Amino acid sequence: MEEKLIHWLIWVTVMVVVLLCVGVFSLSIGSTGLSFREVILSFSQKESMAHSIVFDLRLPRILLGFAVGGTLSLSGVMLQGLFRNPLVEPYTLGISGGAALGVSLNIALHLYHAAGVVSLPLSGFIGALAVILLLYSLSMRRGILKTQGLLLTGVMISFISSSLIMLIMAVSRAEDLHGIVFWIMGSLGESDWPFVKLMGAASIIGLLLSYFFALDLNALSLGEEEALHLGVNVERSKKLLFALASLLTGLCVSSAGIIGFVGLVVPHFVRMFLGHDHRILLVSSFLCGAVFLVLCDTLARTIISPLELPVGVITGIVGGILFVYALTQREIVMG
Amino acid sequence: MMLEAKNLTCGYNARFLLKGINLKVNKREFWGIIGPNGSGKTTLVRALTRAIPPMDGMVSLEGKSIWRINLREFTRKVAVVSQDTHPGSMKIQDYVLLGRIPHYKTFQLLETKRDLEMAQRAMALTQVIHLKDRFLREVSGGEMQLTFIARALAQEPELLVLDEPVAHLDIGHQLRVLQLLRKLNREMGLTVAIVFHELNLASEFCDRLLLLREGKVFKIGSPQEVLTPETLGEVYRTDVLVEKNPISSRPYVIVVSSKEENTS
Repeated sequence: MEEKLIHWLIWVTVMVVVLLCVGVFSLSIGSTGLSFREVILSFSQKESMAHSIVFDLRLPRILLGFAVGGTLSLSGVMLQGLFRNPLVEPYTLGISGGAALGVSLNIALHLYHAAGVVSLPLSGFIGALAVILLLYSLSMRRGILKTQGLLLTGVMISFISSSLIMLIMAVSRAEDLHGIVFWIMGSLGESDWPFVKLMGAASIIGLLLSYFFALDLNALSLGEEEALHLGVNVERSKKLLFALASLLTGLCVSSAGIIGFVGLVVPHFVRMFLGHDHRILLVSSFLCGAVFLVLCDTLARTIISPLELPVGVITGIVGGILFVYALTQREIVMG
Repeated sequence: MMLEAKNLTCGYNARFLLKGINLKVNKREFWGIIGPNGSGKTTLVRALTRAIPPMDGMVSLEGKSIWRINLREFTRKVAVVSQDTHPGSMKIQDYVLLGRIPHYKTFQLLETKRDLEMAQRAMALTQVIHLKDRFLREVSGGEMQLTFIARALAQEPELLVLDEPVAHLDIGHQLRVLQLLRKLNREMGLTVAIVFHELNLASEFCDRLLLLREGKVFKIGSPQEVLTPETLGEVYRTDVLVEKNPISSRPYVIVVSSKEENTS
């Protein structure tokens, strides 16, 4: 046991160090290059130019990236474990579709003129919440959450909402259209401090809460009835896991738009290296997801600087290629 | 008496799969559950182990309704090896350690020394300890079944229920698995209940047999009482001869493929 624990602690330490390095690296590069020394000094020199670049522009964005990337990947692990399906990612269930629909409606109906820019993430979260409640109520049968039905219903809701978004896009004006497209493609650019703090707190709380279910997820990998025979209150765990993962996803989508692939690719990679034990899988997926998204975002904002690419494009391309490469290198078997 | 079912009735919608089952399993007994396909054997196992709630009647463990016992406490007393269990993607040792989950304290995430010892002991008893670092999905069917039993033993149960544990095994592994269970029963006082398809294995190993037909108890008794040509002929709708096994003196069921051949 001690051996396993030490092995896990070493991995987590390595990942935290990598996370910090990526953070500093990402702070230093951008349209204005800063040296490592300037980044460090900016923390104490409050009047400097470097200070305002770091604290007003880059740091909130990087922290939001860590929080969103970590949370998406954590939700991916929880949902893949819950559905015992390696292809589920936080967006498969139509939660992102609901959020995107909420935001598109807000933009097309110009609600944000009256309610302010804050209403954009809020309407996204309301859309996500609506889908979560709909999914949950459609999948409950006599107190039992039917996971396979839930998955299919989620995929269908996803299709319906993307069709509705296209309908809204077809009838909206050009400037609204731009707003919708920009939002759907996902970006970490809209990162105000209060928002970053909220998302950061949610991600840490989410990670801590997920550990209540680490053993349940291990047992669930054998099937629901097996887990029951191991003393896991399967129905309660399923409901709480679904609620936790989908609420976290809803928060991510409303704060950063749709950033695909993080919740799918990262858990797979972590499983390849660290195995299927959720006690290590949860925290390492969180850390790797955070690193992955911030690296992709750094790429997105520097590759054609001063213009920015949507980060969802980068995660899709990089994540997809890496994933296919990994598949050809090694057989992936998921419980 | 350990496990008791009174008028146990189960089903889905209006379809009954079990109708008015009464049975009493005493401590240290070795039970076999037999019956034709679709007679409700697996449903009975599930109803006795809290996997499906009854529509009527009740199941009690040591005098207490199983649905009133805390789930973790129940799984510390009753372990189940289901049919077609999924091997997951774990190493054998990690798989067996899952059997310790019922013993974990709230907020406990890592296994204790005792958990490890109990897992080691279970793997030693089932003779899979040399495989502990192999992936479960990579080992043979017989070794896999032994590992499932090791996981159940790691729960330190008083009652072990197995649903067709030897159905897909060769005769050598069938005997090894059943001899192990008999040893656990005789030497460690474990109460065992097994669903069987193969009547002669049930006859060889069980103290008591429960014969199900169409969701009802047809007969309960010793192998000599249950395995008679009349009873089996009626329940399985087929002709059989029952002889005495020359070594164990237990009933031995011989299937009659054609009457003419037999009489000629």
